[in-house]
Amino acid sequence: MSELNLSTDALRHSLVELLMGIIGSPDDEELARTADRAVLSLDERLAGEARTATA
Amino acid sequence: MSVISTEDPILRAISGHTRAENPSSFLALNSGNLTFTAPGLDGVIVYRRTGRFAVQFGGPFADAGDYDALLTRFLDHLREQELRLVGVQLQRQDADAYARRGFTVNQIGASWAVRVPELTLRGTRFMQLRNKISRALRNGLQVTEVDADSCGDALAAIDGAWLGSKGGAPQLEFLVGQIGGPAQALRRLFVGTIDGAPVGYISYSPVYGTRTGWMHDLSRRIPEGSPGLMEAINAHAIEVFRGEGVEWLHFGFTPFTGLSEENELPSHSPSFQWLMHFLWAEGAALYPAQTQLAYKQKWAPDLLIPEYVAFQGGPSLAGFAHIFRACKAF
Repeated sequence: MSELNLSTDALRHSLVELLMGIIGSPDDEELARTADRAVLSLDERLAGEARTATA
Repeated sequence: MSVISTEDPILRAISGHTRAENPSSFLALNSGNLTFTAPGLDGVIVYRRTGRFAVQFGGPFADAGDYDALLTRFLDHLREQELRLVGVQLQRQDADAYARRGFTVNQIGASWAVRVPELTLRGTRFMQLRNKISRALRNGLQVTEVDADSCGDALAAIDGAWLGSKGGAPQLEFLVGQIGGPAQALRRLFVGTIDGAPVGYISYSPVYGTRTGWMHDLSRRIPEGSPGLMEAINAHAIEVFRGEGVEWLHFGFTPFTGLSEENELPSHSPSFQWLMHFLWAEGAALYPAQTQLAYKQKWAPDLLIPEYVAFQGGPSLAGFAHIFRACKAF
């Protein structure tokens, strides 16, 4: 499923899951890249929500 | 035992270059740290290498005129080593400098401090604390300031009992204090005993800058000991410090505490901001922030100092995790 289709809460949950995964496998570079993308997706989502809230 | 020289380059840097007012700067002297210096530039950068990251402690401890150049040289050095930088315990001045360079900078927690001259334990606010201290003293606690070299067996006994109670958890490093080594001559150590048996200790490290004083650093106690041991040892130390005219007692950094929107930089990552709040509420397995802060708040700290994490190349969960890896937290 594309991250675009995930709810904000699901993206947040994914972030925590990825952090736990990295703690378990700190040298897994593919996991780290996936986590970086997840952070950016959630950043965009939260920034968009903040813009909407202040509009 | 070797004693640190006043000409030690790290000691000179942390005690002389204090614009950032990092209350934990003495941790730069921990054994196991790496330091970066550059010819012709006055200052040091302190870091640890873990995995593919360099985890930097604080900002550069450098002359104002050399700060940016030293950071540039350090980043060049890391590029050659194929290491990505994540900075932790940056102070606000450092945070602004790193943000100007394109780092993503977020508040990660706070340090806490209290003015010693105004700190009294009178009033209802401190009633519970006074009661705990009284219980420890009624149970026979004696507190003494000691030379670490003279009480190695006592410290080892407390450490052994304390570590045993943690179920084999590793000893944290890097962002926590140490006892021993050449820098020990500059620390203060207060040990509690009951009937001659060691039951707890608190080590205090010097704090430099405009909020000069001592930082309540490494502290341990035997797990089955009397209630109020640490509180009573700290209260004793406070009275000693007060008698010496000490201005500030610092309680050091606790991640995920003191988070506030107003502390964030404009370019912060909203995701990490949320994650820090989540870890404050739910992250005790990673770090027991609420327990740690509860102890510090007993002393009614009147200063909250926000501290920051800085990510090179964008916000990074792996970078964040490697801070804890550098501390041997996992």
